[in-house]
Amino acid sequence: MPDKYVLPPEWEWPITIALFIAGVASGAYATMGLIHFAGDKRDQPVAWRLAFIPLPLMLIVPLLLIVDLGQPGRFLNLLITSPGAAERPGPLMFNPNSPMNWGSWAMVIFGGFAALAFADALHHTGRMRLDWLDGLSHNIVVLAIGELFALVVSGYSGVLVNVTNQGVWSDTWLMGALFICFSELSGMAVALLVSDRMGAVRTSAALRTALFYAAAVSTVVLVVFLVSLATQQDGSLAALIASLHEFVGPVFWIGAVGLALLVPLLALGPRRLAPMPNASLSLIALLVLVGVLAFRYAVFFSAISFVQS
Amino acid sequence: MSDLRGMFVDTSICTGCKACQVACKQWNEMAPGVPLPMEDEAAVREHRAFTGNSYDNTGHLSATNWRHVKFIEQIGPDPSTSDRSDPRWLMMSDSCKHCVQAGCLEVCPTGALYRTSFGSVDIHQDVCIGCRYCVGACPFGVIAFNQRTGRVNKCILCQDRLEIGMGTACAKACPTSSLTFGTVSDLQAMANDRVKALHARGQTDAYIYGWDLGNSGTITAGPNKGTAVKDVEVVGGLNVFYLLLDKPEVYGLPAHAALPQRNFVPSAGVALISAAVLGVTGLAAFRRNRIAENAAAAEGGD
Repeated sequence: MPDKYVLPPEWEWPITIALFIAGVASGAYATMGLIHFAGDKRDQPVAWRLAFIPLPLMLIVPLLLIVDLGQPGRFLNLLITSPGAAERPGPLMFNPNSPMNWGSWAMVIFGGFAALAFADALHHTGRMRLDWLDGLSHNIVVLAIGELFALVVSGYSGVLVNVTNQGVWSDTWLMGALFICFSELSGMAVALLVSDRMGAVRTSAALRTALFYAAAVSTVVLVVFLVSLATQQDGSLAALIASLHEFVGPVFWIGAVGLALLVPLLALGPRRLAPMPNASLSLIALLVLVGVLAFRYAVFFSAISFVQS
Repeated sequence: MSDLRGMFVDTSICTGCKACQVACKQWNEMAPGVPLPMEDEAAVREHRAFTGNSYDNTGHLSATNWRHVKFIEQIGPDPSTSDRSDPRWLMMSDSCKHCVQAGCLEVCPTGALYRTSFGSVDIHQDVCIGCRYCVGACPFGVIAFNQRTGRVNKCILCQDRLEIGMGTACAKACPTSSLTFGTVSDLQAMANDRVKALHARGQTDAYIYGWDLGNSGTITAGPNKGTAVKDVEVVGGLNVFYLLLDKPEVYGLPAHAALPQRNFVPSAGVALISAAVLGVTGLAAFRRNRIAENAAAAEGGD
């Protein structure tokens, strides 16, 4: 339902940047877990190097999100029940009906797993001796739980925009899936960048295939998203296309579709349509990252511009 | 149910005098204009200039306009032609509907929005963090972000007046009784009687927006003349509800307002499925690579 009755939430650019960075962090963690699960010892150095990435990024994300609040000094009200707040059981603030609450807690908990991965990377790369981590950081249960929270961090903002009454955003159930796909794309692109720079040819080969598959899945989800809008009676697809005007349109089509999806699909496929030398892997990864940022921008500013128009 | 308080807005007798707007502003001590930074010329122009398409110069509900009398000027049967026959003005005093299932309250991550003992939806201003999630969740575009305070505002059904046994300031000021304050059950009975009285007089376009009391009719004037209408219940019912004389959209009200949470479980479920598919394809990529590596090693060994 493209809804002209609803006011835009007026979220600003720090939100876009924050969600992009959170997506990279959670995607990088998810890819690190994938390497631990599916790779072997020869892939571990890439995983350890990748483990350095989520923690610093997850320290930046809350700052950007807090900056965009109308009352930044009160951000703890998201986590701790304020004495004046509506009654909740216990001292911790958790509204199960609010995706923003789920996301806040997921970020806090995921931050812990990111810190654990960071410490593990310090240990395994010989920068700091932390023997007590050996039994913990590669524990499959710990990794699986960390992956779960990375998943929530990747997708909660998509579910959040689904759980509004904003036109386009709330017209399908696929925003969470799209956000997870693009987070995974950015995480794999970062992993490919790291492995390429490390000269880990074997791991790079696996990651380029994984990135190709992720781009294929993301393309399918995006197509289903557009089809689901087109099948609605009230002109949701027309509303989306109308909202992709001026600067947002090229950002979506060239950035999100072109760079984030078509570049890896064309360049990394088993039978590459556009043959590229291996030296281009880092470039492809960078283009994908730019494309994912464009996707975040287009999603946020298309719906808002639609409402404002 | 009998303790729930609300308002019945009978648009058929609203004269558009805006006394309710003034009373709301006065009681709640709100600034006459929108508290925007004066250096933001575009925003000031947007909110203070003559709208150019209506005698109404408020425009819409905002952080400092918790009540807004809408002027719907139907100057002819077809606005695209110069035909000025059969003109009419529809007036509607709009505000927060204090929904039985309130989207703003459901999504609030801090518990700043809460349900009062009167059934209304109020805001703890000292808890609100200004995240603006409720703004996009309200299906009516009621709740608004206040740039000056960094928090959200909307009609709170004069909670302070209710606590000392008074009614709302707007209803008190209304000179035609278009706004009536009372218990929701009494107001529903009153609204039903009013619709039936209007129908008996031949004004068959009257129906209720907010509760389904079983009334139906046909629009008798304006561009939608001849269109069938019937009572509309949205988001579990509205504690502030309306008697309308035309389609909801004409008054700027959504015909199918819905709770944003309708998407929560399906969206999260689809997201989980996509994550599972991505995980499987990631594992498949590493497996495929290993198989290719083994095949290459076997070929090399041969």
